[in-house]
Amino acid sequence: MLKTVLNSKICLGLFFLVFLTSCRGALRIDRTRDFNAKKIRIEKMVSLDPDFELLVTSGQRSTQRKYKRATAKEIQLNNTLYRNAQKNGIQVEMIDTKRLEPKDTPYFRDLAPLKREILQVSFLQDFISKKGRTFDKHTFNRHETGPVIASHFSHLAKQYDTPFFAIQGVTSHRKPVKGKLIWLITVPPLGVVSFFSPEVDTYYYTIIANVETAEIVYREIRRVDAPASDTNLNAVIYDSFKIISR
Amino acid sequence: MIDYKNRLLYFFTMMLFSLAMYAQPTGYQGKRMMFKTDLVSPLTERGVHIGLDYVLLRNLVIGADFSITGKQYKQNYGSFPDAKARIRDAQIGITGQYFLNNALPAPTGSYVFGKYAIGQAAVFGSELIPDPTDPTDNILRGFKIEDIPSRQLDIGFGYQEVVYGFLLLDFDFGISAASLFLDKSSNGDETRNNLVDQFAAKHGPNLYSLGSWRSQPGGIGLSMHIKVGILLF
Repeated sequence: MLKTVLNSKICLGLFFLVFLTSCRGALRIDRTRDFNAKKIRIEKMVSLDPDFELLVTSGQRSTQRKYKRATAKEIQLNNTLYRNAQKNGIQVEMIDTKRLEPKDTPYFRDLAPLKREILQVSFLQDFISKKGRTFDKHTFNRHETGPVIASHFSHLAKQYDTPFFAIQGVTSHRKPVKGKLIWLITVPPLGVVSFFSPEVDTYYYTIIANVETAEIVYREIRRVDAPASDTNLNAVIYDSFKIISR
Repeated sequence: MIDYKNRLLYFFTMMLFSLAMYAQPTGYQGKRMMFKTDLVSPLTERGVHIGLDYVLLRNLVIGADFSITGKQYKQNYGSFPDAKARIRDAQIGITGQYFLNNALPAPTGSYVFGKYAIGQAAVFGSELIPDPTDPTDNILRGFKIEDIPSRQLDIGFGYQEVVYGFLLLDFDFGISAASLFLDKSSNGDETRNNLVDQFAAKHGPNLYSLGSWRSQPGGIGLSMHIKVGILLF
């Protein structure tokens, strides 16, 4: 009996360890010293056209990945962002480019270049670190004397009644079907885990820039190994605004 | 004499609350208190299992559990029809769930858990009273042993999801180990205790018991729970 119990314990232990390794997810946040010291309090921010992107594959290795911008999901994302910001006491003004008309000169003159500027600065202020784990190496290694946002955007603070402009979005990546049936037959614990592990990675990102000080004050990226469902987005976005509002 | 054990417990509790204040746990949309009940217990254990959970830290949920089970076990006495013994076990326990995904704060996602429960059990069984003069006149008589201290330890993993913003679906799977301290019962005797030993070796796990794991009755094996609940506040 003891032998049976011990064998079962070993199998369960293996199953348990494999389960732990299959549960992934990551959260990386980069804040300026002032933001960390709570010298910056964000009460209102302008969200520059949140994106919702889907990267899908048909499941076969030879087929190409398809990228599509999910318009219906973007509307849902906008509502989720707005609702969760309000719950955390932050007012969000959404700039939605799907309703743009030729008369919307301020967007093409100011906001689109600002979005480009924020993305460029966010990319260019990082250096490649050789320390840390794989995911750490390529995220948020800000150089102290990195580039800043051009000063001519500072007038937008008065125009929108806040110096904080944000770029937010969701990227969902459906991975190819793993086909671990062979594992189920040969190593049952691994096989069972592979059947239960999700095949979708969802990334949520936020970059907040202060146009008055010309710096990026907050950056965040999250990876959730689950679909971008309402539940997951609500949980992630609420938590994100909770961190921003602290 | 200074009670170091109580002081340590007090210090540990305060430390957990301090950590909770420091970490400012999010919960789901700010809701941190949950009420859950198990759907498997009525089917496999003839009982109810309810719990109250609280998101203490960003990835840590603690909870209090209450369960009453009334599992039945077969007793075989040769020419007599099979009798069924019952172990009624009422337990209260504490649970801890650690959620594994950093990006998705508790109470959603995959988790590992541990649970320790203590309680009181009562055994209702049958015993054979032999007639030395005429074996055909043997009789089967019911007996009851009360106030048996019981313990159960569970460890495992699970997955919890929130749907419609308030409804909780929780699935967990793990190893359970239970013990019935028959020798500490107020009204047991050795003969009856030995009788209980025969069928109580599998008491504890609700899915599959591998048998006893220590000198006391009580088994070790696999347990599974499917719980539904609501997010309270």
